[in-house]
Amino acid sequence: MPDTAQVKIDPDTNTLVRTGVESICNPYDVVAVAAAVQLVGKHGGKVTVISMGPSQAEAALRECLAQGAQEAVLLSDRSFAGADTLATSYVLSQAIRKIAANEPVDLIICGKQAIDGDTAQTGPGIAARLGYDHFTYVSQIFEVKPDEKTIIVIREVEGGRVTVTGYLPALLTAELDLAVPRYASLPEFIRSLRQGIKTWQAADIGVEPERAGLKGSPTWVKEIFTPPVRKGGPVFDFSRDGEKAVDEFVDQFVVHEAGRIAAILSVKA
Amino acid sequence: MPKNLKGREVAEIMQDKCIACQICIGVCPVGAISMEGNTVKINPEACIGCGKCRDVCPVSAVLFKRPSKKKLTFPQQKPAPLEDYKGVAVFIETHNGAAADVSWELAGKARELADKLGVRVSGYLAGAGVEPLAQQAISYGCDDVYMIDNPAFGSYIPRVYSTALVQLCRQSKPEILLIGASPLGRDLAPCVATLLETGLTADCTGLDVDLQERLLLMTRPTFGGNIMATIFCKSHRPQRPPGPTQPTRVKFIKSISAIPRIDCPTYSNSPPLHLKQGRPISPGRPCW
Repeated sequence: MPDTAQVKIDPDTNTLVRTGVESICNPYDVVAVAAAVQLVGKHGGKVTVISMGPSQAEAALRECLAQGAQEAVLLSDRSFAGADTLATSYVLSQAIRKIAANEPVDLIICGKQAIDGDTAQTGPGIAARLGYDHFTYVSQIFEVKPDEKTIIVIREVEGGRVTVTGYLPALLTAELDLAVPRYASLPEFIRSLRQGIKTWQAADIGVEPERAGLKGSPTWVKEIFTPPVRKGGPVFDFSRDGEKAVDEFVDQFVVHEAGRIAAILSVKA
Repeated sequence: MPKNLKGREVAEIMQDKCIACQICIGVCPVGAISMEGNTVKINPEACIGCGKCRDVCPVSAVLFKRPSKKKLTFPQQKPAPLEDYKGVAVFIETHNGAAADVSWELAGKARELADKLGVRVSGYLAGAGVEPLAQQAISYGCDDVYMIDNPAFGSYIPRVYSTALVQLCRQSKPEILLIGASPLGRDLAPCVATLLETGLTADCTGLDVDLQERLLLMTRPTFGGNIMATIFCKSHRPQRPPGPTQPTRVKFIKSISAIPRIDCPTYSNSPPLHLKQGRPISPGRPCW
């Protein structure tokens, strides 16, 4: 994803201009990779990182390789550009299907949300397409039993936490608490720079172009504008002219507000 | 496109364009091309229709069209026309038999949008022991309430809730569905939107309708709140190859409301859906 501090918007299509903007790895995704690497360290297996984006996204994938991921796949195709979350989840789920056809996929870990759009929609979208169970806002992976194909996680929900169990394969989206990313060791760092990154295009993963990218996106941006400046509330300064301030206060809150309330009440009546 | 006696589509040389360079003679895997005097001829009975001669011809003198490969097609399911989708729906989120505040706020907003569009507001009420909330939903602004009162809905399980909501949307065909952007809503909404193959906008702070086009205008902060974006969702019906689902017209996240209760479709007596797919073990300790 692009570094949100320096994005530009294309005035014609209202989509992001990515050229010339340095790509960074979404912090939630860094945590997700760290959690995956820790799980694989405990139970064995392999971590594959997948990203959809322009070729600049390779840098982010190499960062993940340095964190301990074994394999990296970049989904890059002109037809993927301008995708909203529905089209993105379609492309990603197709890629996961392709991987799952060759080797079993037990767990997909996504970041809770991207720090640009903050939508948190892609993870559950992928799970819905693949028919996997999903757990969002996971702050702790309590236990994974690969033999029984079950997973127990702790989710952050409104007003507290819940412990949930489910069956693998599953998808979970990571809160920042899920894992602490470690530092890359020098050998790993060197490996990350040398390792090849698979690049898949639309045809490689059986993506229908009409369902990907801008074409496959039902939501369109109509306009983009700066947030309206909020005005502060009225201030009645008693230190200078107490009487005037009281008058103003009475006028504002008793006369003006009371009139509005009376108007509302008379309409209701 | 000429065919030979075997019914195979074969290549043909357009003599007016051919410059007799003889490159095609070299590439033909079956030796079907030969020089006859100064002109190049393809023997149609020997030709296997591979198209290699077309690919190498420098002047495009070979008339050949590759038979189109069969495309992956989904069973063509005709999506319901846009006009079939009417009304504003609000998902009423419940926790332990009480509705979430955001749902009632949304009910008010739904009422406002529905009045502009001249349609009804439906409340989608799901939970365990939520019957008393149906009446409440009506007093908060819903015209109809679809109620799912089932122990399976006691705790939030994405699969159970999303299946139910998708069913409800297919049945009652709302043009707008509002879901509160609570942790539950933000989990549920993308599932429902994906299964319905329709648009979803997260974390809206402003909703309005474009009456001419009958579009919902959804305004939300983005890029850390540095800018606001107004988003709309036009139907994709004609172009979108329908997967296993039909597109609904518009939907987004955030909000709820309901009014009179019409019926309690299908679910009240249905067996728990896929409950074992994910069961809450124990409520965790509250974090406050």
